[in-house]
Amino acid sequence: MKNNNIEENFNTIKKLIEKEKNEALRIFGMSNFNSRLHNRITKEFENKSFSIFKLMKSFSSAVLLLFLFTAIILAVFIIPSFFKPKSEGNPMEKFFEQALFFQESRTEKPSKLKNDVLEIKSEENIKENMSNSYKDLYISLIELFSNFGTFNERDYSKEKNSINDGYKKEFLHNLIFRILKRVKEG
Amino acid sequence: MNTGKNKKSDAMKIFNELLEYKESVFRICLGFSKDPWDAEELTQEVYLKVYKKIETLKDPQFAKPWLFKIAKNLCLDHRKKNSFSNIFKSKLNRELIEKETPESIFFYKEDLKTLKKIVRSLPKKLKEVFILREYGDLPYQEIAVILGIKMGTVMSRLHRAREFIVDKMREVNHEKQ
Repeated sequence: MKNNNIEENFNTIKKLIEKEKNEALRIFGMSNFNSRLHNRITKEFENKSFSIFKLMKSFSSAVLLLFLFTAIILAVFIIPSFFKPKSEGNPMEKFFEQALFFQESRTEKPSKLKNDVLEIKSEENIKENMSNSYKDLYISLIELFSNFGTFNERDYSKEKNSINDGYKKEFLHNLIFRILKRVKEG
Repeated sequence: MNTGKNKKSDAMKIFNELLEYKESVFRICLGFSKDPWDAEELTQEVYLKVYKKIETLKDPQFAKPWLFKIAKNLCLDHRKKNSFSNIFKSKLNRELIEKETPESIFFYKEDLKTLKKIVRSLPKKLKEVFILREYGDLPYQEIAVILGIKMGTVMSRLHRAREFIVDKMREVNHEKQ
């Protein structure tokens, strides 16, 4: 009974659907479907070949970019590492090696720095107040520190003029501290 | 070399055969879309897809259900796009219903709008069976093949869909009164 009722009511809806379909088909008949489809297919294929070309182009640019990137990486990070000494060793060893190197080479350098150092050596108060070993170390450290480039000429002359009993210990401590800090950082 | 050419010409032959069903595809698309213009655009999309995939069709015997399956899936996936041609819309006026009285046009439009809304609100399983049957005019057996279900299931789903639509239409008419 209920089924029959649904079928009856659905007939009205079916008529509505049929009307919609007929009208839509009339529109469809006027739409030049085949020629539009043909144009779209042709266009799609043209686009396809174009996109393959574009893809190839972008692929070659990607390869070029990758090559450039690798070259930059090599130039900046890898190549300089070949020129570095293989093992840098203990920082303290390095410090003493440099000190020794400077000690050996300083007599051959006719620089203003060398003259200044010789002047310091001749200062009376240094001779009086410092033992030989301290004095040597002190001078070596000043030279070494000057060599590092952080101890400029003005500072150097200032230190030279103001060396006295109270100052020399503090200066020496400061200098060693700064050098060790620098060695650590380096 | 020749085999490749033959394969392509076979595929084109099948494609041209499938073009004969364009009205059925259009009707199915109409069931899923809001108006004939959308349906036409969808039909174009269906055939473009078929053209691209035609060489993947293994058995030409199943070309027809394969076509309707593509149409059904594409319509279900379809979301309104802005790219839909408006030029085409403007060219074709609604002259077809202008023969009738303004009143009948109004009621027809209203009823159709309501029906479309109800069909859209159907559960997916019922909707696809309903549209393939009522809009596509496909036999039960073909619907069963397209959807991969039994013929009995097709019939029961169709009945449920009709029941749903009748009830909803009745509700809407009752509210209007």
